[in-house]
Amino acid sequence: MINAKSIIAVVFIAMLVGVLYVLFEKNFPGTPAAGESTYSFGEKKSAPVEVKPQEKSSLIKLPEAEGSPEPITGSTDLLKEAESLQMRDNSTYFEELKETVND
Amino acid sequence: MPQLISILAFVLLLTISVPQVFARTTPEDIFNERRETYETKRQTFSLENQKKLDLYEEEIKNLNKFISEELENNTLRQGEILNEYILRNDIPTVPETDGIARNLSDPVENARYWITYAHEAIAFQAAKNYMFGLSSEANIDRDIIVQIGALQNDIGILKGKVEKSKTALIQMLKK
Repeated sequence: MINAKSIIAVVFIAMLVGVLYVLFEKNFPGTPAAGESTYSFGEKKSAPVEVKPQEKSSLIKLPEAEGSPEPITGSTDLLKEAESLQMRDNSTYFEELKETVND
Repeated sequence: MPQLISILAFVLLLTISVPQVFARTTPEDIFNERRETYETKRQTFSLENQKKLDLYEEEIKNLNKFISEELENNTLRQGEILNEYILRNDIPTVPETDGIARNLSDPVENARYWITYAHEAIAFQAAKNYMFGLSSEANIDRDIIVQIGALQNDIGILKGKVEKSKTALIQMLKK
């Protein structure tokens, strides 16, 4: 016979199950559900991971890196050394690369 | 008994309704989100255009790496010159401060500050990623050129910082 107590008991058990489910999901986010593959946060589930080849620049020719400069010693002219520090003009690389886009 | 059940139900309801604590959004999260949007859009493009985008992404990355390494070597050399100057003149090491109080009127501290500043800016630039806008497939050439221009602009600003540190170093050496 259905009475008030049995209804409350059913509701209580349903809520308990719900709470356990929520707590379980919160505490064990890494646990995969049935039929679900594992993945990390922020990782796409559907798209396949593409491995891009690690290539050197092929569209524009970059010069080889300069070798190590002479070590600074007690006899080095520091002012001359500082003034000789030059930065390469890289604008041609950018322009060359831009030109290849429309080719 | 009904009162007890009511209390228990109330407590359970409170447990359920506890708001979730969300982690702070990091720059990496923002990048990942942008990357995901980018990848989704990229995959709607033709295979040929996808390859073109990948190729130029790699080209921009290589160019950024090449220039950043050169600029880093430049600032490292500046640091070596500064160290040698400190050694020769027996300049005492300044005790570490909280990073706020600096004495930039002192030429050595001024040079040290700008060299460090430039070096950090280079590290930031080297780690920077350039993603194409992908406004539409018909516009990918323009989108690629825009990103090459963005890199060029960033490198120009960075070179200004390296030049500033070099100037501070030369000023110190001339005193």
